[in-house]
Amino acid sequence: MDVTRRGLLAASLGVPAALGLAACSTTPAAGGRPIPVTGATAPPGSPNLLVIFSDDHRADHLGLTGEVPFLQTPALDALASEGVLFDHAYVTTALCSPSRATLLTGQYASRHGVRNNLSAWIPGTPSFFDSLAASGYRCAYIGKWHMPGDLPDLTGVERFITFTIEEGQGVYRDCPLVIDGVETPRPGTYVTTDLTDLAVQWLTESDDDRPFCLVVAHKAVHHEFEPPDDLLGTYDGVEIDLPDEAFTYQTLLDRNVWEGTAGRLQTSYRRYCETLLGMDREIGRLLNAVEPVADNTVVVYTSDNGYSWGEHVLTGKRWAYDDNIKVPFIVRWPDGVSSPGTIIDEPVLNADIAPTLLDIAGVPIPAAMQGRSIAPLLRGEPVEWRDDVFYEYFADFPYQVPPSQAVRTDRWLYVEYDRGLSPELYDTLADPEQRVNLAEDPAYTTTRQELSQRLADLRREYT
Amino acid sequence: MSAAAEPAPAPGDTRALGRALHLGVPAAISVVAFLVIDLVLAGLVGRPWGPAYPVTMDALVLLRMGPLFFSGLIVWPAMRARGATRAQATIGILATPVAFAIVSGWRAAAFFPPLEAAYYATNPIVIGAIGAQVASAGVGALAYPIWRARRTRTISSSRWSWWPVVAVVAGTALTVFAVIWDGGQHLFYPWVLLYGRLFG
Repeated sequence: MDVTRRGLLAASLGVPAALGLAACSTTPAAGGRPIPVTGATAPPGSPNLLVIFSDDHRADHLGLTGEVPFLQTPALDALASEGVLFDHAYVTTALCSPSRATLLTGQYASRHGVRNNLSAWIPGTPSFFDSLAASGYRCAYIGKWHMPGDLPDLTGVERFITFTIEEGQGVYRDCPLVIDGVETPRPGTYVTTDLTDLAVQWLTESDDDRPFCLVVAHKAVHHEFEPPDDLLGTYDGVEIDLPDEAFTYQTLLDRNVWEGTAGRLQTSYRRYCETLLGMDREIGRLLNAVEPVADNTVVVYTSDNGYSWGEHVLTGKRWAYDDNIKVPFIVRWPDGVSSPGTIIDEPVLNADIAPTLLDIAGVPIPAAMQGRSIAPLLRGEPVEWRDDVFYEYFADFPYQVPPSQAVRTDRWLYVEYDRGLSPELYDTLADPEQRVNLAEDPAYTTTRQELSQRLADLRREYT
Repeated sequence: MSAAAEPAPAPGDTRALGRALHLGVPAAISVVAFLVIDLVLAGLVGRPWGPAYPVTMDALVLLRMGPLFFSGLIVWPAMRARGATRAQATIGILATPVAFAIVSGWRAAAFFPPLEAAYYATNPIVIGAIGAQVASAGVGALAYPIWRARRTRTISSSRWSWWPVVAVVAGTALTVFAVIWDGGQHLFYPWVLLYGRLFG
């Protein structure tokens, strides 16, 4: 299938001056890890790789989409205008820990083993860091790890900064960090700013000639939806357009009560958008820091999953609806993207990121990776591409969401549950909000059978 | 307020059942009110019919919290006024949280195996509801003699007791810990981690 593109993104987007680089305010932690001796040297001109990974940022909450009229994301909009936006980007599992493991491994949860927020990262699981470090990259992971168990010794990663408080969820203010294994209090900090400071510091403190691979994983915009002080209340006066089925205190329903949003839905949503605005500002600051090497730096922005704000009377993720499984996905690659400022329609996965990074770096892609490199799509090369994506979800106590698998095509969403619920079938073109379940409609019997068979095939292929 | 001193009914005495029913009426009203609201809520949720839908749903959600968290305010003094012992009245104020726990576990059984669903029934909301009921009962025990004295224009003859105050403080503390302090995370995470150890 040829790459199809539609619509130019606004070309005039720019990063406001307010996003300028602030002075680093942190002190380097003592006792960093020794640089592993790999013996390899990256070829001259190897691109730097910067992955910015957020939490619970749903796909339509980018300023450039216009879906949320009041929402501003100038830095991400600018990034998209200089790169490409994938508007059919999905996660393999709409849940924090599995999605993070998929980002690193290029595998489905069935394969890498982090099936829910209670299953630990298996020590020794290979990630793209291993391949990049072995090829002469210097690598760092800064931010939310959020996989149960002891923090791993991430091979290939020379700087590993994360947090373990609140079972790895972290907190927005005064979040203590674990810097290369050392517990480090961070009084007076706001976590999104602090992580950005540390990332900028890592980028700028070294005169190492090696290309870098940096993953910055934010807590934002996960609950408790705490924006920075100066942005609190920014959206207090705006009109919010909730879905018809939503209501203010749906947050107290049994199905939503563990999502940490108890209280007024509208208030939580406003804080979510303000937290997103704050994260966008920090992303702009980070991008300013890499500006001197921007021509040779690939930037990827995505999130671990989307989020439902009242759709299907849900507050949260996990369910296989578009609000949860679609994520923002932006790639800026000055030397590679053939048509900057465009939108790409092909369905891509978070599992594609790992093989893509290796492909762009000129590093062999391990056969164990289940995602595919999207580099050909970025270059605008004709390529046979997938027509659908497979989704899987495993039980995650105490959330009342049954284990499920789904197939998403350009038109259909078909979901099968392991227990508790009947299959669901949605025509996403006629019913983009996926409200009318056609699974029991005799007119769609054939469609359902075909998708059920396709789902069985995908299940065999990926699990 | 004190329980009326009556001889214990003989086994098989049909009056015993009648008396138990008589004593349990306030608690039964609370349980039935909770279940009815809960069922109506479950039947209406996700089926918007117009502008009244969100208002109605919000009202039902908030109304459901009344019998679940605060009915002890009335159930305790009402049962004690009917002659219930402290133990019986305690069972009475816990009846609605227990009903909620059963409903929760029943619903969770659609998503989790039976034993895990049973564990789900011990969730922090149930704990918080128990705390709120104990605190409400304490408030009820403190307020009822005053209310009754004003209503009957008499001087309350009840002896002062610290137990209602203890109930208010302890029940409030339990509820704050279970569901309010940091959104209940300090109980939620241990509860989930224990699940992992038991069933993981």
